[in-house]
Amino acid sequence: MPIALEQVTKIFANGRVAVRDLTLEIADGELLVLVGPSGCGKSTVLRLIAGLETPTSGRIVIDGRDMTGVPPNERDLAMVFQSYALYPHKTVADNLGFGLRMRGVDRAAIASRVGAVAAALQIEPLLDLKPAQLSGGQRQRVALGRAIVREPRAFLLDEPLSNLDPQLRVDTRAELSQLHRRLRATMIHVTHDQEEAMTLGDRIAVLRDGAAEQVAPPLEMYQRPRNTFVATFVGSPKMNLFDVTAVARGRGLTISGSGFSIESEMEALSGSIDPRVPLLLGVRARDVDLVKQGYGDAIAQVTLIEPLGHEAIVRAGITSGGPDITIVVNADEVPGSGETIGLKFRRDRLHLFRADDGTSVT
Amino acid sequence: MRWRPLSVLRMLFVFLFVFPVYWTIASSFAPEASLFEVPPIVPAQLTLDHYRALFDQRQFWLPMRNSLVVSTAATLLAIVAGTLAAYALTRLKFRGRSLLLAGVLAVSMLPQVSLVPPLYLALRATHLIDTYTGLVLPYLSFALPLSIWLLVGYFRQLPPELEDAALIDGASRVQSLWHIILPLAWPGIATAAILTFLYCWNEFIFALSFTLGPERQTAPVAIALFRGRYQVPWGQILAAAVVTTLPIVAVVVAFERRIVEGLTAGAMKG
Amino acid sequence: MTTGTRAATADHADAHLARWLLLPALGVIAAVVGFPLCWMVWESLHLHDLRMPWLGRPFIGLANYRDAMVDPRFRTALTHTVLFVIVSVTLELVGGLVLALAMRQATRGRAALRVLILLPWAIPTAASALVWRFLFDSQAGLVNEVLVTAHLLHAPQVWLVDPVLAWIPIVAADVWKTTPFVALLLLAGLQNIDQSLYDAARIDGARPWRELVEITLPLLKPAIVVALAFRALDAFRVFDLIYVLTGGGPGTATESVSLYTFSALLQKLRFGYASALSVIVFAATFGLGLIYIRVSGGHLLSVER
Repeated sequence: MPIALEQVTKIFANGRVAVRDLTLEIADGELLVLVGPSGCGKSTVLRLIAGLETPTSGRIVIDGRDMTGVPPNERDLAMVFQSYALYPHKTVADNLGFGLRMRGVDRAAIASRVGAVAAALQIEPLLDLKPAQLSGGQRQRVALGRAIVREPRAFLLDEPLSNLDPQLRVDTRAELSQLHRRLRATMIHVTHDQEEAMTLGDRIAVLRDGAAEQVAPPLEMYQRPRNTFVATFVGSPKMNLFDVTAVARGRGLTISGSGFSIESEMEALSGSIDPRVPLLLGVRARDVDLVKQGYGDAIAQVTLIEPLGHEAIVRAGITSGGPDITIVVNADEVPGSGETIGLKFRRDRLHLFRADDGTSVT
Repeated sequence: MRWRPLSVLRMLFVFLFVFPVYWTIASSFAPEASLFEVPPIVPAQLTLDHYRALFDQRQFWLPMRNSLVVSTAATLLAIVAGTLAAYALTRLKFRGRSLLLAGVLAVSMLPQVSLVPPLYLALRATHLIDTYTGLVLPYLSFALPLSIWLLVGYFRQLPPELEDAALIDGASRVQSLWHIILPLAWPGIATAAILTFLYCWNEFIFALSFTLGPERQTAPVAIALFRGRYQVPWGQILAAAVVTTLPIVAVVVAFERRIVEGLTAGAMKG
Repeated sequence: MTTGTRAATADHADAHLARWLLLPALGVIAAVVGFPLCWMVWESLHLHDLRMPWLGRPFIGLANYRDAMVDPRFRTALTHTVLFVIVSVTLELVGGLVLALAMRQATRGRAALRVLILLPWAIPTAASALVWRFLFDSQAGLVNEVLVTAHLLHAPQVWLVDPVLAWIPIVAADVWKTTPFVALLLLAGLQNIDQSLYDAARIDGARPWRELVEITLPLLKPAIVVALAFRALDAFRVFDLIYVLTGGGPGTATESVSLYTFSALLQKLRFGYASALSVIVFAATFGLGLIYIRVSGGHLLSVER
């Protein structure tokens, strides 16, 4: 079911503005990930959709109907909480069946649906246990099962993977993805982990201070970030940003920074190609190649090497008082600490932003 | 801090606090005559005379019955009304919530003696002096705020997400209260009930003011009013004190952990 | 705009339900507390003496209050009460703290310890008042026996007949009854203190006394404040204990404000005057309570999650 927020604002009793005039549309069957730093309002948005909070202004439209004042028990949505919120005094089977019971489904039907979901999630042996007797991963499955068994209009997931160990998190992430493909249900997934957002989402919405910075499919978000916030939030290690200015040169630009100068054929907004307009050049750590000194755009001295096995993160300082830069190199190319290296920026992977407000000019 | 002196201190304290209890019990079994000659630490003779007199002559089972009826009734009413109120105060959003909670707190700070004059006049006007109702209602003046206070403290500890999950699952507020909150709050409710019962049982001033005779007097009042023909009937008084305290001791021993949790949670959360 | 009304629907349903849930409790409190309080204030502004019914119940404004202010017996009772509060609460706090510290180390038999400690608190005040009256009895009392045998007294003392000495069994009974309660409150506070703070202090070389002063006491302050406030409010309202132990005597030497109010009501039958005294006691307690709430930071009243 499609879900839409129309100009939704939420101001809490203590004056805190959690959501600022947000308009967001989630298509039927889409998996949208809401991602952003703590306090950006992503959980609040989820709760607004669920009906656990009411908007100060704006509308929540679910499946074409205005559900703004409708209480949560009438919205036919399912939610998976970060802490799972399993009913501690009920067995797993009762936890799974609770929602159906509240809706008056008859006992036989409940039993068969619960059984089917338990089988699908491989939690059948746990049906008679209480939540306290389960491991974290098992509880998470039960929480998921509780949502699935209701066959709701949409699924709301509030950081469901955050409490799992890193390895389990990666595995469960894949399972969630498969689940989405199988059920073809609308899902809204909240997380603070940008990697999770990139791997799971059909589209990602990056939130900051209650407003959406950019809503786009993962690849587009990675390759064409709309501003520096999105650019540095998505992708690890963080994108390098350098203070530069740009001047026109024939059909392209010359970008000049401290310690380097680049000729590029990028097209930028006309107002920004002016030596008086401070800009930021964005280059991702993986979009910089090691070359022989003198054949690249800049020369830098290595300050720190963090080996990761198959690759290494190398931090270096651009010579003659230039800025620091972070690059990722293959294991067989790792320089020595203190060594001087040559760097070349890939021309097709450059980003230019205004320095004052961070918006992209390309 | 592994001090031997601390164990000694502990022993000393326990001795100091428990000794009067022991002394009372021992004396209640000592013959009347020896009471007035300061009996030894362990009485030489034991007798059930005082206890027998208590029930045969003074019909002490009457005040015990009254205490039981009034305390149980007041506790039940206070807990039921208090649970509903505590739920509303902690889970539902409405204007004036903080003010109400402050009001409840204020009421619990009332000196009971302040309520005696008007309640006496009101009870007299409605012919409720010396009746069970005439005690249970005034008892609610402290039992209700106490219950509400303890239950609010307890409800606040329940994770709000559980109710969120229930609501999203399709339960109405009332359904979530019945199926989720109450079963989980049961220990807290039990604790509140136990503490409320304790306070009701020990209550003195209302029972003293609003009853006229042994038919409706509660146990604490009855023993305070013991009169002897020639001298103070200490044996019977102490026996009565033991009997009055027995139910309380039973409750304390059975529910000691709950009581401590209830007392400290209520205070510490503040 | 539809938004406002639609969004309000869910909240209104909440408020509506809240009203029904609160009705029983608030209704009873209004009837049993609110209404009598108002009546009490109203009565306090009238002359209402049941011994002299022919005088009727004329309105006399604040005359009762003025009488109370200059009433020597009331002022004495007030003094008694304040002194009682100061002395017993101090003893209870210090004793409770020492007891709590001693109990903290106990590993075995902690439950039994708590039960034993709770007993004095759970015993009906009337009963414990009688127990202590028995202990201090001039003929049968153990206290006299012990003191005389230890040659601290020449002859058995008649405690309850002396206006000053009569306070001793009262204070002893109160301290006996409530020190354990205070100890339990403080013990809970002690257990909330992070053990790693003590570990850090020990590594830094602190001796036990330093630990007590630098870590324990400051971190225990909130619990101490709570215990102090609870006890002060309770002690100010003392009635049961004194009524049963000494009846306020000898004469009025051990009378507290609650006791005097009671006496004015049920012995002197001066309803108007007793009502005024009640209002004064209530106002004082309420005032103390407000101070307590202010001092404790007001988070007692917060209902946010």
